Amino acid sequence: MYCGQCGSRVEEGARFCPACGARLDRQDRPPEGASTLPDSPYHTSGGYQAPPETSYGGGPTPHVKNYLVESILCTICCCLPFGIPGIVFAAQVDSKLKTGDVEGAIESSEKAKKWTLLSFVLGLIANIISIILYSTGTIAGNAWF
Amino acid sequence: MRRNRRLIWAIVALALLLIGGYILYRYDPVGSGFYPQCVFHELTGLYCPGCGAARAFHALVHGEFLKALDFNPLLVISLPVVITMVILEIVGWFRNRRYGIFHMWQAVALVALIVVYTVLRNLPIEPFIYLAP
Repeated sequence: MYCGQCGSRVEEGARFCPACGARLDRQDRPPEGASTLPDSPYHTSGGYQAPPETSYGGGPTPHVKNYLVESILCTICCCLPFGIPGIVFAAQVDSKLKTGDVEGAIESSEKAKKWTLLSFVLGLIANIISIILYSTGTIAGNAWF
Repeated sequence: MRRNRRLIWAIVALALLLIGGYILYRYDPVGSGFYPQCVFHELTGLYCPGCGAARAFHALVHGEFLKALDFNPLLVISLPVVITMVILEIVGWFRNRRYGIFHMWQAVALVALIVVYTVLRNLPIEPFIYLAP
């Protein structure tokens, strides 16, 4: 199959494009999609069409999500320290991308996602518990956000 | 297909934002019976970096900027930056692009800022009591 973002040929079942780092959502692509390159001219960074054998250093910055905004929002809104590893891993994604370590960047991206998701779910549970405790009168209810 | 799904998510997010904004406008977090309570504050008695956020947003949507600043100064001051980042993230999400690079020193500075802010707003000494909600 082919990457929907840069058009590189990638292994069947790969989760990320090795050339540009884009996430490959297999369920989005029809089985015969290998012969066409949907949206590819629009999705390359800076309008630059990456050839399949691009070295990581010279080409456009690959698109690896760093979950920075999500982890900051979770840290602020959920009041939990679990968002902080997310922020650090987000920075790791970008610094690894800068040195051309796309594999490492994808790994950090996965970690950032994991921590952000953890802090979001824990924050959600904590807030639901606090609403229940507050509405049943178990806690005084003067700890407003 | 993929683009349509993103559009649906964007519409859902916008709808949630509008509903949340309306609830914050209509009901004061102080005294309303349904806002979540800060678990950290409930357990420790200390203020977390987000404490005062709901009250600050309530004040902001009523145009009371100084009152908002009083509840959570760091949040209100950094709001333009956060909003810009969220907008760029959404635009980048639609266009499969990333805007700006986030450096490690920025991550360290951000985490340090949050930690220092949390410590300072809990100090019961004259200049820092203004940081508390």
